[in-house]
Amino acid sequence: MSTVYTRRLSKELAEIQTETKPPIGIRLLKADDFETWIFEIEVLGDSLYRGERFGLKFRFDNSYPFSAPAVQFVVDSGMKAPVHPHVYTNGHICASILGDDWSPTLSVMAVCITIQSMLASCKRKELPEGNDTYVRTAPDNPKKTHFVYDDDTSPFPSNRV
Amino acid sequence: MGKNTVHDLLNNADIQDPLDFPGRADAPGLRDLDGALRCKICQELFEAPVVLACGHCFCSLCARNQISEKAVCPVCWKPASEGHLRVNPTMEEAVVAWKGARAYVLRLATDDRTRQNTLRGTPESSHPRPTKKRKTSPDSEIELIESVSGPSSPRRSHVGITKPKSKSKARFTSIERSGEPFSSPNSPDDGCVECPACARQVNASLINEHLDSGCKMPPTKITDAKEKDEWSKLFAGKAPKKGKDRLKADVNDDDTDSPIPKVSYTVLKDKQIRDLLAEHDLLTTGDRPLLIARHQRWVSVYNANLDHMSTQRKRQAELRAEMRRWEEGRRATSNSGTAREVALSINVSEYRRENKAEFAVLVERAKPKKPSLPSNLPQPQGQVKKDHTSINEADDEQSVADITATQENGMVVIDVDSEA
Repeated sequence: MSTVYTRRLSKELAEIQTETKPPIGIRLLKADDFETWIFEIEVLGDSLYRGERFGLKFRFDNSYPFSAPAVQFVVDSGMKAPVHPHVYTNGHICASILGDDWSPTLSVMAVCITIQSMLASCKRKELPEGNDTYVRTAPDNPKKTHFVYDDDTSPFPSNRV
Repeated sequence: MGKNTVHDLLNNADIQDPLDFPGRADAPGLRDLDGALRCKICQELFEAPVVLACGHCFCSLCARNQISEKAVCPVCWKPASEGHLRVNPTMEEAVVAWKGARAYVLRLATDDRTRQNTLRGTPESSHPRPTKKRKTSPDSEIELIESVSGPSSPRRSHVGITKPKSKSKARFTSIERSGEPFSSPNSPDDGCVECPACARQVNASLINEHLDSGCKMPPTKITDAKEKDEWSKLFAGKAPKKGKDRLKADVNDDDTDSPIPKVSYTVLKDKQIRDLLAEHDLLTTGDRPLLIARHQRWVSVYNANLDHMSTQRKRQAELRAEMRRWEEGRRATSNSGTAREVALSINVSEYRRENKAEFAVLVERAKPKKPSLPSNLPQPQGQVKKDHTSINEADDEQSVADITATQENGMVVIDVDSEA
């Protein structure tokens, strides 16, 4: 598994760095190893987050890609998490593809795009319900939280069995 | 500095992917072709491809790892199980052929692109040669297609009756053909082709005369010796010997065709798991989770290898080397403290231990509710002899009271009170 993990990440990195550039608004900030990568996400066009930039942090272990990477917004060094009903102020994101709906056919870039479009489609800038309680008790790794996905943002609503 | 290490890795790892090929504009279909022969999980060319019940194809090891993580197809989410894995030898043949041709096709494609680029960059008139070549290549392609799809046998194209003008195209076709599994005894090397009219074997150099004479000319027969050779190749000669050789090799390699059965580890003691590992000459060190993970990994690696065509299988030594790499990778990640398994195991047992004091406080705080429960309990017990249904009811009631699920801030907190 471990060999799959590093080889696949190097492929993804090579792809990001070569001719097929990541989509507009997504920029690689840091990928010094195969443990932590940081991207910059910006929502372009008409959205509530116009002009704001966010850091998206990926943490990998040797179970990647069979299990999802730990993904959260960067909330230190001057960066803040976006105000969004699915994003807690500690940077944790409640998105089904980072948990139950993860599939090894997804990639780092697919996650970036999903998060970008999650921000772009936001209607109301508000914090999630019970944000303070969660942030006080949340584990460091968002993957240890058992989120309940309570709305229709699941990418595979119809063909889940 | 850190960046260098990743770049070194990228350079050393010999990473191949569809992007090696020029884009759609320069080489239509080549990226897609290379991508289509890759596993959607590991992005490598298929290794021992298997299909799930839904029909999607993955490397055997990838599919097994995926199923142990989550028993669904990662593409369509239909349920999947190891029992339903079916090997896909046709895909494996395609991959083996493509592996052989890939470097060559890549060179052709990149050469072609550089040529086209230089062509675009300079006025055409000053480079008559490439222009001409570009003109002729479609012709030769058509000619080749004709020779394949025409009334005559496809083999004609091999024996030099229709001489393709473009050398590279001809070589490309021959590579494709050599990858074909159906090399009959009458392969083109014996100089004979099948007459399209009378279907007899005719020496290639005589086929035109043979056809012109209305198939009257005696077809050049395959000599008896040759025929004998063919038959011996099929029966007494090579095949059984090869089988025996293979059998011997397998025995030497301590290799059989039967997969290792899966084990239910929960019923085994640590020592029994160590015995299982020792049976296959694997490391027996480490704690129970590691022992189990190691055996699971070995079973997956071993059984996935059996999903290869027999000619593509790896030796046990290679499988063991793979296990060593796995151990190293595991050690590396658990040292840095990111291993998911480590995180999860701490999550349950150690978390409970570390936060015992807090739990105790919470339990105390929850206790005032209790008096109502014990007062209920004797009642149903007293009824045991009288009425069975009522005790069932009471049991249900109790279990509801013990397990309280609260949903807050997007998290479900299930609190099982084990003391009641």
